[in-house]
Amino acid sequence: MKRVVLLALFVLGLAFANPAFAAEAAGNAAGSTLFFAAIVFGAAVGVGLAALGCGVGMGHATRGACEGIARNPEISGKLTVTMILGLAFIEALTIYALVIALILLYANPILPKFLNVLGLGG
Amino acid sequence: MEEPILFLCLILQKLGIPSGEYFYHHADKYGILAKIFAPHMVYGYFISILLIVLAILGTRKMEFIPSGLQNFWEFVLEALYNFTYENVPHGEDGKPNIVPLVYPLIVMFALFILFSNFIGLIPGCTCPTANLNVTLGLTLITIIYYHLLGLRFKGLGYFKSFMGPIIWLAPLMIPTEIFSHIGRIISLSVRLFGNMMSKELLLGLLTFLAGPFFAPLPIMCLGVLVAFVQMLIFIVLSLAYFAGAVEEEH
Repeated sequence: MKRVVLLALFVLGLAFANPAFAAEAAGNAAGSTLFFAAIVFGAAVGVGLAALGCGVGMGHATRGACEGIARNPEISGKLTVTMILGLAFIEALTIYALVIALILLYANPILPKFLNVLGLGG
Repeated sequence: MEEPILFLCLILQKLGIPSGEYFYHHADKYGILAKIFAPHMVYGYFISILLIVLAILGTRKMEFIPSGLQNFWEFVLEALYNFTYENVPHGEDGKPNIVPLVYPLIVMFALFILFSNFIGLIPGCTCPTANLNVTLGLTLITIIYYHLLGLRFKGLGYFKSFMGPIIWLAPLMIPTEIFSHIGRIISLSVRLFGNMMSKELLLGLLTFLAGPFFAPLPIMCLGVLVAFVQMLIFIVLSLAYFAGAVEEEH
């Protein structure tokens, strides 16, 4: 399993370090293909990784609640409330990543500076 | 995506006031009225007036055995009072009693946030809390209030609690505590804002992709649950901050 992951990362690294890709980005009239691609890729991968971590955490929370209810079914109301509370805190972490992704896509603060460097005067 | 149609803003536009999304984004051309009657402000005023009218209607003729609206209000207020009483020091074995200082604020937060989260589900209306300005305002009320509570009940010794349990750990603890307190501001506001705005964004995208009437329904069912839970989270965290500012270190 670890070898598959390492192989995938290696191929991805090769794809991005491809000299043809870099020459095209440097020689492109606007030069901005790689920049916009990086914005979109960063937003998507960021939210995906946040969802990964939060999914694992929520699984642990639900497991704890299920085991507690299995041991002691008469306090299942309190356990459910505690579980919902914990899930909302964990879900908020994914929402933070979503907010950063939305800022990157729609209200990007670096974009005007980048366009100034290119001379487009955005 | 085109701009949303909001009913109250349309009514105000017919009366001649520049109110709506378009006027708010180009507010420098339309003056300060465009900012006072921005969509989230208009719906905030609407919810405030609605709550005041409901409260007045519920307490007009108070009877000993309640029924109707008075019954509903008594249930809500008693539930919130028990919730506050359990989570905050209330005066037994030498701890200060801060329930009367905290309870009206918690009721205001609960009713305002619950109503504003629910009103976003009605087509043609928007959540006031789907805007970072509104949630940041509510967060700043909580933050300033709990610092004031700590200063009142502990005096200037409140800042000694920033220094941690052991005195020579102070240079390590003070930046950590300061950053965690600043992080509370951001986390409390962005949590509520992010949940509400992502619900609205998801509804808009689903409508755009999959048709107007039946596609957003599952998201709306989830939206009802998320609205209620986010209100609970805000209240629980506010109570935890109030309790943490007043309690002694162990």
